[in-house]
Amino acid sequence: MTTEQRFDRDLPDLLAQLAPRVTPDYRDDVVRQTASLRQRPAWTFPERWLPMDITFAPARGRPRSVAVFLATVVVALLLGAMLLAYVGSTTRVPPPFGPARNGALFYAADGDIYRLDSLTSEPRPIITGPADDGWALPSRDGRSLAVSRPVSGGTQVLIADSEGRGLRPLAGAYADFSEIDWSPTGEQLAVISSVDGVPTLSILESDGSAARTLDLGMEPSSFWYLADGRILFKGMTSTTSGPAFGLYTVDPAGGDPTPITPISRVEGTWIDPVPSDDGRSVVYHRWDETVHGQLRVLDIASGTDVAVDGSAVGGIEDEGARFSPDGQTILFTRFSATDNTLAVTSRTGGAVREIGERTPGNTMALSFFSPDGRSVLAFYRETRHLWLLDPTGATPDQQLDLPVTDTPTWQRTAD
Amino acid sequence: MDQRGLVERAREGDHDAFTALIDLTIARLDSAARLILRDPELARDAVQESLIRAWRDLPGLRDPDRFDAWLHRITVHTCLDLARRRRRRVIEVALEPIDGPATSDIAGDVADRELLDGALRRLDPGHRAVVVLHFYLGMPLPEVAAAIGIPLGTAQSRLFYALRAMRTSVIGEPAAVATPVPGGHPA
Repeated sequence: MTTEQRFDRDLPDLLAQLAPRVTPDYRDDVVRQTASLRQRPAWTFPERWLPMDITFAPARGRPRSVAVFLATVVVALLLGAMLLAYVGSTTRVPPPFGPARNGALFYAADGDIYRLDSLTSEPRPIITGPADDGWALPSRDGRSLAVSRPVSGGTQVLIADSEGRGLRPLAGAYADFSEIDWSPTGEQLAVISSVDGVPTLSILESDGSAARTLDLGMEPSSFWYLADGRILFKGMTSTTSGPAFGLYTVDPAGGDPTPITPISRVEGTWIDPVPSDDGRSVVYHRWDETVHGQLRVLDIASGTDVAVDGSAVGGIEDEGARFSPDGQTILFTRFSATDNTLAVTSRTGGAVREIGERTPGNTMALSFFSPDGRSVLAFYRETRHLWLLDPTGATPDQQLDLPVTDTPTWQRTAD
Repeated sequence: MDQRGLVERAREGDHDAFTALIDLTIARLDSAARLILRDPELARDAVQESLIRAWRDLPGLRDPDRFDAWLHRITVHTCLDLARRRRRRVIEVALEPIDGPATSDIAGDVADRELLDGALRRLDPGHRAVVVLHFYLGMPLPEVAAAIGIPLGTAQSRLFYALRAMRTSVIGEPAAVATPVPGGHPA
């Protein structure tokens, strides 16, 4: 038996040792929770009495008459124009990328969306009801929120204003909905979901009028809108010798993806790519046969790809990097053999400042820069502590007393 | 009462029968979720949510003999959904202490477990789910593909990649192609 065959044979045992089967301590909680819930009546499951292919056929609305339809369009246009004129005359918005003023924080709890006007104010529920609404993602101008809601056949994306008003669904429902981002103008959102079992990038008009999929010819993941409106993503192609990975850009209006890196057979070559706000650089980390957890910065235009000085040396591993809004600082997680911590360094590397609590190896913090780039919001999952950290160390870190179970999102507003 | 009988009773609203099903499955689901998500807290959320959904939707299950596959499918989808909501984060799981003797020369080695732990951490949850369903829950690959909702070819390629990555970490087998290749357009 070869070493590889022995490994494959022993893999189930290795996995069992990593996660032994023991009755978890929340067993009684599950029993109690289910005991208090009613089952859905059998007749509400259409798959039990209808062929599935017609059960989830998309509904198509049709105006009752041309006159009604035209009248509706005219009224909607008038209302839209009035609304735009009003909003345009009263509201300043930040540029879509780069530093902005810190606005409200948003988070989901128990299926509702809460808003926190400032770090010292009380949370207010702004989207409530029986639906199990998920996170709220503010648009780049801070005026709108995208919210997820489970529906039959997948997840629906809804948008509202930043006070939760005017909640309305966008086109489509998305199976295995995984990623979402706002376009720079806020006119579109992009999502990755599963279409016929394949990860697919879809573009949703934020006015709710339409949605379409992009034919990329590969499986996308880790996508972001760039400042110029293109979309950056990691693509996986299937070849006869196995999967191949690379970073690409694509015009959401259509066209073939453009590779911005060589193709690699090793998925770990490009992990968690995140662009800078100016859209010129991408920070990611690499994990392959030669380096483990090395931060790198790629220049999109030239293809120049350099390691961040001091990353992945001396047994440390760096992961989960992202740029500050001004693009000059990189926030990341640094792993040692026993624990990890958040850290910041300049975009070229060098001196590293570790920030926040050190946590055991299995409980890293989730973190991001505030819109003004002066703070880092860090959520420590195990303790459920939320901290506002000063990346410069000049001011004391501040623990926030909020009932959050996940990292909030932060609205960008104009200065 | 056998599992089929419990499922039939639970499907009719018998919560005691469902409690018995919980006891039959929860340890397995929790382990699988911890392997896929690599975060005990997330795994707890995933299993709780899955079992609640299973109880609520059980009247919709047509074939009681498909209960395990149906429950695994719900759990894997819940795990992947939670993982996706937390993309751009790396999540790890603690190495649990081992009770009892090791079962083989590889499996008994803590260093190997740590290497495998690291290798698993570097896989994305979709790849880990294929490994866990196939090697840990013993599901045939076509059933794995159906459970996750991916084509069989995708499941095969994910398993191929995941195994190669894990072998490389644990036994040092070099990757088939370690050097990036030029080009870029989709095949």
